Amino acid sequence: MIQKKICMLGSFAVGKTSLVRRFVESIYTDKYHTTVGVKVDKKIVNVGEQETTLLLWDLEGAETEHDLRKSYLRGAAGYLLVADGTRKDTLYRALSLQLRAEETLGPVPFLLLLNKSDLTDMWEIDARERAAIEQKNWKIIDTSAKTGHGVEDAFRSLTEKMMEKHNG
Amino acid sequence: MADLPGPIREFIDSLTDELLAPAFMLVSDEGGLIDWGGALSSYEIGSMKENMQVGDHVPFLMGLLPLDSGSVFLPKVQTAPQVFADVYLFRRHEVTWILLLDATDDVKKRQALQQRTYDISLRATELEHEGRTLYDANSRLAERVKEQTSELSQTVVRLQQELAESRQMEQALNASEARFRSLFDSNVMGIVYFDSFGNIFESNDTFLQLLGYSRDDLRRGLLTWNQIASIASEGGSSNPQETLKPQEFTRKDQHRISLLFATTPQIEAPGNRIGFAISLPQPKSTQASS
Repeated sequence: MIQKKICMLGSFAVGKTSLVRRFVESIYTDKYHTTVGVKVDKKIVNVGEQETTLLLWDLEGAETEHDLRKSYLRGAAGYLLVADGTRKDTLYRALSLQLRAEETLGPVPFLLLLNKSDLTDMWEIDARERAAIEQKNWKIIDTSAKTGHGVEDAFRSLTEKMMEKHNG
Repeated sequence: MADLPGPIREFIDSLTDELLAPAFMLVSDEGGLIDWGGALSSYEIGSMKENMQVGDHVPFLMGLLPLDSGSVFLPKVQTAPQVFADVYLFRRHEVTWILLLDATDDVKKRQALQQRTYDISLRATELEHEGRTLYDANSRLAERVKEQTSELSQTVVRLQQELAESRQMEQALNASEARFRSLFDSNVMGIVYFDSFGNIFESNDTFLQLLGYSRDDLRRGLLTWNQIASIASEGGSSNPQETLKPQEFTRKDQHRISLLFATTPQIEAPGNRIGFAISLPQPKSTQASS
């Protein structure tokens, strides 16, 4: 059985825990519970004919790149950068966390998730900022842990990228 | 620690056992479990077997083993619901030691504080959003007020212009009426007001004199168009005749009289007409009888 470690990175209250719970347990709760430290969940997915166990490391929110513990990243095959579309500053924090992650892990696959797509009327990230990020060849997926929109797609896309690298 | 006397060391050990629930695992370079012990069950880690792959059994260790060199510290790892451990990995003598120390109390304290801090921060962000929304709405409102004030002031200016024009027209009308009144009162010509039914309701003295009626006759309604219009001229009341033309009338004494006569609609009551009459030199017989 192939096992892959994925880290959830992002500022506080962007929805990292909610995305994992939606993906693993198909559950969502509106109440915000801050994460302290790290919680590890497991989910088995099939990519093509390969069964893969994903170990999802839900890290506590990091406000600066220095808040992100390198030891948590150790052994990760990929990561999901999560930003809250209704809080522009969380996008900038995600960008700086990516630098830290790449410095620690090297060029492993990652995706940028713009979460809370159910609140687009409060959206703060505009098309110009999005285009600037896409120019870096980053894949962006809009997600909503609340509705489930894009969640499965996000984890599946990252797993596919990791498996491409794994199969090599 | 080397300088510490035995009782202190023993006390620290018992304190560590009591507060930190130490547990350990010893892992080979191949990831196989060599030894384990301590309070592993308090972290809900159980069913251990010699040589089992630790990374498969303890999810948070997957990808970390084998440890090449040095040490790794994983603070506050959730090992079970509401159970947290500080996890230390270090190499000694070609094997990897994994030490777990209970961090649950620390996490709970930090969680409460962090939750409050982040809740406040999120509320501040919400308030900032609301403030921005209100500011935008206020700006839009101010812009609308500005536009409407501008429209209103243009309307006021236009109304003032219309009012001034209206006053000028009123003054011109008053002057015209005054001129007409003086013409009416001067008795230079006979002037008569009548409606479409032939009722005569106003006349100057000259018109009355030309037809031999008194002002009292007029008040009593004796003077009507049917009375004064000759057969040849009947219908003259309803037909507009805007240029002076000779027209025959019947005086009160039943004699006929020819007058230059024209009518025009009354501006303020278009159904009514004003008649203007000027006497013509009369044949001898008429003059004699008048």
